Amino acid sequence: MAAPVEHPEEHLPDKYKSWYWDRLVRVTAVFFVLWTVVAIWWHIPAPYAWRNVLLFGNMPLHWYLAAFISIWAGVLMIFVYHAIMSKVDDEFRARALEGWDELPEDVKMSLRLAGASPTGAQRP
Amino acid sequence: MRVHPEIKRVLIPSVLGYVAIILVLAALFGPRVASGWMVIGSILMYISIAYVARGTTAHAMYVAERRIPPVVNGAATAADWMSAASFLSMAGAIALLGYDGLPYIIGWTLGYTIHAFFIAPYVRKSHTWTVPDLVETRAGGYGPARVIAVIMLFITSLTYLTAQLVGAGVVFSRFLGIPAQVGVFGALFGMGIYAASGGWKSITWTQFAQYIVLIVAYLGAAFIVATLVGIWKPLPWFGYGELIQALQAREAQHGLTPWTTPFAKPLGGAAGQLNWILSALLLMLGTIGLPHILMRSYTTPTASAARLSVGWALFFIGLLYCTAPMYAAMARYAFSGLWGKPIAEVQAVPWVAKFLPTGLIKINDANGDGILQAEELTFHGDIVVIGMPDMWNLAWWIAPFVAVGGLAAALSTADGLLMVMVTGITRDIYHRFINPNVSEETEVRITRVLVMVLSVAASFLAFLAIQDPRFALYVALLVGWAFVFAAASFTPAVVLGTFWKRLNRYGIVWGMVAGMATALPYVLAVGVFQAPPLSLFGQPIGTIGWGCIAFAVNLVVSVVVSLVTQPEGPEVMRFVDRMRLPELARVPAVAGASQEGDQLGSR
Repeated sequence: MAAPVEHPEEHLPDKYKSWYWDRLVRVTAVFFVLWTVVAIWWHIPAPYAWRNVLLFGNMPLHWYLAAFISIWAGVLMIFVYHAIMSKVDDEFRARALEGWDELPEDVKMSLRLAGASPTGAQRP
Repeated sequence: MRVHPEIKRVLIPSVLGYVAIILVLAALFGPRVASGWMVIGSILMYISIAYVARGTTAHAMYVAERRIPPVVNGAATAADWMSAASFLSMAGAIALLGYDGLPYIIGWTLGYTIHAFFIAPYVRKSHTWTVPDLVETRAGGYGPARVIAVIMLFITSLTYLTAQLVGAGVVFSRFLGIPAQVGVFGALFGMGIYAASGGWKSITWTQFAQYIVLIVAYLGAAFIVATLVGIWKPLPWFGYGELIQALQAREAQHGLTPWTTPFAKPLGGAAGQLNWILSALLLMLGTIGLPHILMRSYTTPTASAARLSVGWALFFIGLLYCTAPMYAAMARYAFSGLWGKPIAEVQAVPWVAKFLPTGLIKINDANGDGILQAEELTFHGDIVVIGMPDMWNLAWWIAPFVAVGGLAAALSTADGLLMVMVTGITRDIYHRFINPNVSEETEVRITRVLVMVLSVAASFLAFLAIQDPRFALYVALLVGWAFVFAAASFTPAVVLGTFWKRLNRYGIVWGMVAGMATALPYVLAVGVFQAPPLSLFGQPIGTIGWGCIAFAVNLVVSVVVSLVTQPEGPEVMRFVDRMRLPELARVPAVAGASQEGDQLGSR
C-alpha cells in the first residue's frame, strides 16, 4: 500500500502541472503588462501632455495619476488577479480529481486522507 | 474574521481605561500631562495585546502558527510597512519636492501589486520559515547561499531599524519633554517586550492594533483640516485641486516655480524624468525584496490567503499614501499664507512661535526689509504632519494623538525588522549551522533573549544617531538605500527562483554578490562622498534610481552563471513545483510527516 505524501500536488503527472503553470503564466503576464502601464508607462507622457488637463475640481491630471489613480488601480488589479487565480486554482483541483484513475497511488492515498474523493473536488 | 477572544477581553477595557485616564489627567493636571499619558499609555496597551496573544512555540514565534486571516495580515503588513518615514516624513518630502517627491508615493505602493503576482503565494507555498531558509532551499541546500542571505538581511534591516528608533525617540521627546537620546530607550522598552513575548504571533496582533491607531490618527487630523479648508467635494482626496490652484497662484505672485512642476527638484542627487521613473521603479523592486515584508507571507493559512492579504495590505497602505499629498498641499498652503507679511507679525503667529525654537521652521530676513519673502521661510519636512494640528489651531488632544500614530508607525516597523534579524540569527545560523538538534524550548528562550539584546544594540545605534548629526544623516540616507540593497539582492533571487527552474545555487549566490557590488560603491560614491552622478541617455541617475541597474546586473549574472554551471537536481525541481502549484488538499493524517515539514522547517 502506498504511503501518503506531504504535498500531493508535487507528485501529480506533468500534464496537470503544465496545464496549471501555463494558465498562471498567461494570466500573470497580462496583469504584469497592465501593471507596467499603471506603474510606468502612463507616467511618461503625464508630466508633459497631461499637466494642463484638469479634473475633479481643477486637479492637474499628471499630479493625480501619481498621487491617487495609480495606487487604487494597483489595489484593484490585485483583487481581480486574486479572483481569477482562485478560479484557476479550483479548476486545477477539479481536473486532478476528475483524472483520479491516472493519479499515482501515493497521491490518491493523500487525497483520501484529506477527505477528497474522485466524485467531487474538495477545497483545501 | 475571528479575533482572539482574549484580545477582545483585554482590548476593550484597555481602550476605555486609556481614554478615561486621559480625561481624568486633562481635568486634574491639564493638557501637558494628559498628552504624556496618551503616548505612554498607547505603549502599555500594545504590551497588553502582545501578552494576551503571546506564543510559546517556535511555530508561533517564527510564523505566527500560519493562522493569521488575510485582512488582519494585510493590516499588520501595512503597519509593518508604514514606518516613521511614511507617517511623519513622506508628506513633508512631497511638500518640499512637489511632483519630484511623488516617486515615493507610487514606488512604495505599486511594488505590492507585483508582490501579489510574483512573490507572496510562492513564498507561502515554499513551506520554509525565513527568507534565507527559502534562498538556501531553492539553492539545493547550499549553506553559503543562506549565509549570504543573512548578511544581506542584516545590511538591509539594521539601519532601517535604527532609523525607526530615531523616529520614535523624536516623538517621545516632543511629547514627553525628555531628550530624544533618552526617548529611544523608551521605544526599546515597548518594542522589546512585546516582540520577546511571542515573536511574530504577538507582533502580528499588535501591528493590527497599531495600524488602526495610526490610520485613525493620520486620517482624523487630515479630515478635520479638510473640513476647515472646505475640500470635501465630495471627498477630500478629490477636492484639493482648487487648493493647489490657489497655492500655485500665490507661488507665481512671489516668483516661485509652481509646486506641481515636474523635474524641478533633485531626487536622490539627480533630477530628470528618467531618474524619476527609475527611482519609482527601484522603490517598487526594493519593496518586494525587503525581508520583513517577505516574511509576512509566511503567517497566512494558505498561498491564496497570502495573495489576498497583499491586496488588503495595499488597500490599507493606500489610505495613508493617497492622503499624504493632501497633507502636503494643506501645509504648503498654510505656509504660503505667511508670505509677504511683516516678519514680526509672522513670528507672533502661535504655531510659528511654537516651532521656531525647535528649528523645524526657519526665518531669515536676507534682504533686511522686515517683510517675509517666500524664499526667506524654510521648514523641515516633519512639520507637515506633526505640526498640522497647530497650523490649523485644532483641539489640544489632536497633536498628541497624531504623535501616538507616528509612534505606532515607528514601533510596528521596528518590531518586524527586529524579528527578521533575530530569526536570521536563531533559525538561520544557530539552528541551521551551530546546533541543529536544539530543543524547541531552548530555541524559543534564545529568541527571547536575542530580541532584548538586539533591541538594546539598535537603541544604542539610534542613541548615537541622535548624538551625532553626521551619523544621523547617514542613517537617514541608508534607509532609502535599504531599498536599493533589497532590490539588488533578494528580489531577483526570489522571482527567478520561482519562475525559472534553471536558476541554480551559483547563479543565486553570484547574482546577489554582483548586485550588491554594483549598488554599494555607487551609493557610497554619490551618496556619501558627493561624487557627480553618472548619466544614462544624457540624464543623471541618482543613488535610488541606480538600484535598477544593480537589479538588472543581478538578473543577468544569475542567468549567465546558472547557464554555464550544473542545473539543480530533482529535489529542487520538486521544491519549485511545490512553490508553483496550489495546495491540492490538506492532508491531516500525514501530520507526523507533514507537520514535521511545517513545524521544524523544510529539511
